[in-house]
Amino acid sequence: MKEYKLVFTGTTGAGKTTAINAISEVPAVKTDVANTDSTLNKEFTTVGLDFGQINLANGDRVRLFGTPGQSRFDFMWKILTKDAFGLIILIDNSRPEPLADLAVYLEGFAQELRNTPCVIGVGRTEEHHTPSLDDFSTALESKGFTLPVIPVDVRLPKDVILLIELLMAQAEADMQEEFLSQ
Amino acid sequence: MRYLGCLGLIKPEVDLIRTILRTSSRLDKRWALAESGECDALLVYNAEKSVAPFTLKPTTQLIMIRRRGEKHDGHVFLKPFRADELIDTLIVIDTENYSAPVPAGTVNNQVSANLYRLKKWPPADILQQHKNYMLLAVYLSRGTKTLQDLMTLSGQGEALCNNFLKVLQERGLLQIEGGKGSPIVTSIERPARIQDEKKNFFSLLKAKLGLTKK
Ligand SMILES: Nc1nc2c(ncn2[C@@H]2O[C@H](COP(=O)(O)OP(=O)(O)O)[C@@H](O)[C@H]2O)c(=O)[nH]1
Ligand SMILES: [Mg+2]
Repeated sequence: MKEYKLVFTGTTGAGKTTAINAISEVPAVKTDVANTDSTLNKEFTTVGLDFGQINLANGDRVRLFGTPGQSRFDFMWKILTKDAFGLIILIDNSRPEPLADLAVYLEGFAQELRNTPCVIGVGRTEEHHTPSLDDFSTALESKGFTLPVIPVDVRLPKDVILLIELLMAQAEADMQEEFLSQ
Repeated sequence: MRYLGCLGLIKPEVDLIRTILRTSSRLDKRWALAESGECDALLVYNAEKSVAPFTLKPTTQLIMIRRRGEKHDGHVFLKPFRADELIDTLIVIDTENYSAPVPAGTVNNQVSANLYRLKKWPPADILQQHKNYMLLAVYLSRGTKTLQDLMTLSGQGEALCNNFLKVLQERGLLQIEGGKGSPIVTSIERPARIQDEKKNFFSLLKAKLGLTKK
C-alpha cells in the first residue's frame, strides 16, 4: 500500500479544515505529529495539523494535510510538504493584505515550488473584489511563477476537486517535459 | 450548419447575436440563428420550465446567461455581452460535439512546431470558469509546449487548442519560440513512455474524484 501526500496551506480561516473536510473520507481531525527530524529545533517536538484521507480503489491512500494555523510561515510546513504531490495555497480575500499573504507562502515554499505542483485558491472573492484574481496572477508573474489562480468556495467539494485536478494536470505536463528532455 | 436558439432575450440582443454569427470570421458561418424548432445550442436567460418554441436534441448544449461575477457552471454567456466570449463558447461546443477525436499516433505535419509558454495565468474573461480552458492554461504553464503536446495532454482537438493559443497570443500572455527543428514526437509513443506509478495513481484518484478523462 502506498501513501501520497497533498498539503493545504494558508492563513488561519482561509479554509484548510473546510477544504479537507469537503473531500476527506474520514472526518478531518486535528492530530499531533511527532517531530522526528533531529536537525530541527528541539522546541518543536510536536506539531498540530489537520488530517484527512482519500482511499483509492487499489488500497493506496491520499493523505490530506492542513498546515497549522499561524499567519507566519513556519519552517515545519516545509517538512510536511516534502514528497507531497501537490500544494494548495488558500487565500482569504477578506483579509487586509491577501497579496502579502500569498508572498509569504511563495517565499517560504520557494524551494518546493521548483518541482511540486501548486495552485492558488482564492476564497471570498464575491464579497471582496480586491485584490482581483488578475492582481494575484500579476504578483505571481513578477516573482517568476505561472500558477493557476482559481476563485473557490472550499465548502463545495467540486471547487476543491478542481484544485486537485489542476495539480494533477501540472504534474502530467511536467512528466511530458521530463520525457522530452531525456 | 449548427443552430443557436435564444430564449428570454430581448430583440436588440437577438439582433446583436445574429450579427455576431453572420460576421465572425472565427465562426466562419458555421452557426445560424434558429427562430424555433431543433437547435444545437440554446442561449437561456431567466429560464421558465418550457423551452418552447425550441426543441432540444440529446446533444443540445444549454448556454445559461449570467451576470458577470455570478457563480456558474458549464457553458455560460455573461452579461454585459461580449462578442468574443460568445464566439469562444460556440467554438468550444463545436469542438466538444462535432470534432472527430484525434486518432492516437497521428502526426499532422501541418501542425505548427512553434513552442508556446504561458507567461501569466489568464484573466477570468478568457477562462470563463471553463475547465477545459483552465487545463490548457496549466499545460502551457509548465515549460514550453507545441500544439501537438497540447492536444496530446488535453485530449482536445486542434481547433479548440489553436483557438485558445490565438486568444492567449492576442492578449500578450504567450511566449512563442519557433520550432527548434526537432521532429514532432508522435502522440503514440509518448504516453507509453511516461506510463509510470504516478500515472496510475492519477487515474485512480481521478476515478475516485469523479473526473473521467474524455
Ligand atoms: N464564504 C466563505 N467561507 C469560507 C470559505 N472557506 C472557509 N470558509 C469559512 O471560514 C471559516 C474558517 O474556515 P476553516 O476551514 O476553519 O479555516 P482554516 O483555519 O484554514 O482551517 C469556516 O466557518 C468556513 O465555513 C470560502 O471559500 N468562502
Ligand atoms: Mg483549521
